[in-house]
Amino acid sequence: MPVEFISATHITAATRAGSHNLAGFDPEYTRRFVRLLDDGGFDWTLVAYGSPAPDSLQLGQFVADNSERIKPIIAHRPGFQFPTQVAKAFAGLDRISGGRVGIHIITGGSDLEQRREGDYTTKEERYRRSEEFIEILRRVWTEDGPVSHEGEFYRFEDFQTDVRPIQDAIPVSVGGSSQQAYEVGGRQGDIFGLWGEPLAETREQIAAVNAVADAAGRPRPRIWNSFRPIVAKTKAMLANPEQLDAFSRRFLAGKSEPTNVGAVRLRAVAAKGELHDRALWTPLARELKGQGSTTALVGSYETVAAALLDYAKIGCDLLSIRGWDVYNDAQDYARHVLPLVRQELAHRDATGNAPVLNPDSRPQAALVGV
Amino acid sequence: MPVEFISATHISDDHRKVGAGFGGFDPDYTRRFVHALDDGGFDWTLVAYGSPSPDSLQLGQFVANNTERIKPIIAHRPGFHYPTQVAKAFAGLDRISGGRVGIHIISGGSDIEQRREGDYTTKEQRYERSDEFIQILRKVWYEDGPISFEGNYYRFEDFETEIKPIQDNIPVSVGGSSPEAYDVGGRLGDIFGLWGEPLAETREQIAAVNAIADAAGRPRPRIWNSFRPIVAPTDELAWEKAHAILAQTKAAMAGAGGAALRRFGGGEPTNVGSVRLRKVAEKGDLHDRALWTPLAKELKGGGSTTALVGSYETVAAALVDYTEIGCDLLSIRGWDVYNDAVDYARFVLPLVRQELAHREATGNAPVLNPDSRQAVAV
Repeated sequence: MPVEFISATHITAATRAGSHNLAGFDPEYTRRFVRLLDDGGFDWTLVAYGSPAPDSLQLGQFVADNSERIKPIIAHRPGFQFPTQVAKAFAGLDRISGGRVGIHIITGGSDLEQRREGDYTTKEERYRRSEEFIEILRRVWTEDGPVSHEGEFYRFEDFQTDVRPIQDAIPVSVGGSSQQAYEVGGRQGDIFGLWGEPLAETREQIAAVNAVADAAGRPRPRIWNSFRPIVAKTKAMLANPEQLDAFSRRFLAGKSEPTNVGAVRLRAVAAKGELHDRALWTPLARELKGQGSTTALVGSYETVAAALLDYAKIGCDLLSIRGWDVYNDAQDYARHVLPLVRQELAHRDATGNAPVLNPDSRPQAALVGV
Repeated sequence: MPVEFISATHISDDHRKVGAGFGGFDPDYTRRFVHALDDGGFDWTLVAYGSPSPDSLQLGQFVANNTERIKPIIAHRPGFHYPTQVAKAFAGLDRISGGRVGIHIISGGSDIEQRREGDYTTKEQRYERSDEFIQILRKVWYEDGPISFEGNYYRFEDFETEIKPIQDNIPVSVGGSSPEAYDVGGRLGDIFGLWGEPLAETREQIAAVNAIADAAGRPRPRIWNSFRPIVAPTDELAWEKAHAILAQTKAAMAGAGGAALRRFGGGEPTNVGSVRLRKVAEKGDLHDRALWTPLAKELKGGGSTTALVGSYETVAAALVDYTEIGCDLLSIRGWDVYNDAVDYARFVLPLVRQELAHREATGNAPVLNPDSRQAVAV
């Protein structure tokens, strides 16, 4: 599979470091942002979901309607809408968008957040529900004739629709870092999503997911890895981490530490050290308590491109990069980072894997403020 | 309130075939169809919902993205999607569309249909649930700060969003013909939806809804009435067309279309609205100026199935009759749906609007074909 780039979809100019989508939804800003991604050569854009955020399927169509080629990968939390309806919504949007949609299943790591929209299940139940949910999606998308189902969480009789996707298989992505996430993702996912950890830890997680896929006799999921790069022309021009910390402190005032495994792992990585491998920098993750994708790759365009290639080499072929000053960063990534990574991969492909891109680049400790 | 016209939103050319059930979703056809409505001067278009059809909110945005002014009124069945999420979806779409959306609550008249998507409630429970659902929508749309709720059907804690509608009040429509429907619609609806019955029966239904609204101290809902007109340049040509459509419908019902309809409706629909349409059809083929019921009989009253038959002038006059008794949302949807929508837009909408403007300017002196009425013989 080729390496593809994923962005996040930002919906208001108020978006800042670590901020949730609590500042409303500005269609004009969103349109500008999506056009930038589309023109800039991103392949996918994640349409996130949380209880304060807009309906992700509505936003997903808005993205598709305002772009030509970028593919919205739409986060969906099972448990709030019946799966037959969700399947039809994705199938309809697949037709509307000319076959561009993907679904990212988020099972839900926080009980408090689930209760905001009336879900009182346990995390274990939620993962079992997600698996049943994915099975139903695929049946509705692909089976002819009436579908009935009787499971632990869903029961229905004689459902039938002619609303079908264009794609042979709408890609289903699963994320998470708990054993249950590996299980569901390995058995059901076309894509498995991780947050940016050091190479060694990332390898371990990939192996865990692959082991489940192998045991189930399924193709291994593509690996999607998320970073928040901080790039500049030269090492000396790097953003001032103190300033970023100010944003995050404001956002985090009064918030408790997230307990989902992914967040706990990011905090553990941050506790081990500030700089890992070539350019993975963790103080922001620590400051933001590992809430979501919060690890940075810091360096010149070349250094960050080389760091992304390191991850491509261990099997991450979906590289999610989202910034801190999100609009301007997306523009910088598109202009300066995406072409470097693609050029290097094309070069390796053509020459039999001889790396040329800045092979020894690594920020000096003095420059990252440690 | 001014009189406004509502169309249905057709999504596949298969809908042209009388009695055809579900032919998938064809975005290109749908785009052409909504362009015709938008250009033709319709005010609203209903985005319907049933278990085989596309997600109505996805289709609703598609309608909005492909039009400039028409307002999608989006059917939604409570019970399948959590109300906080539905509220946000409508609020977001309201922003995307520049303040053009409405929601039409369908509580669900058929147990079999509900079970296709996993709902095993009774009809009484469904109306109670719709009531809670509408209350939650309005809280999410218009209350500030965290919201919690504890009802019989929904419970949640500390929900908060800044995804808010543009409109001061996203119109909520409720439909149905049972006492439960009148009750929920009268207490909570901004709009109440009916299927086309004769004037006398329609007056009764309006009075029932208004009585509830008055008792609750709320403004009376606007009344939305649905017809399937059959129009032509003359009454004679319209009747020829009507009998041709009836013959096609009978043939279709004997074949695959009937099978589809039987599957979808599970035999004769038992919801009160359908029972009432069948009863009207039993009383006679032609009512008032132009209301013709044999198609409703043939289609077992499954949905809006009564026709208004006649020349453009006759049908316009019949529609004006309904505005006189308080129906100011006139839903007209055809049988050969694309061509009929174009005909309505060209010939019927302007006549009705002209007549209403004339009456307003002259103090209510009717000029439109005041005595037009079909001879019972045709």
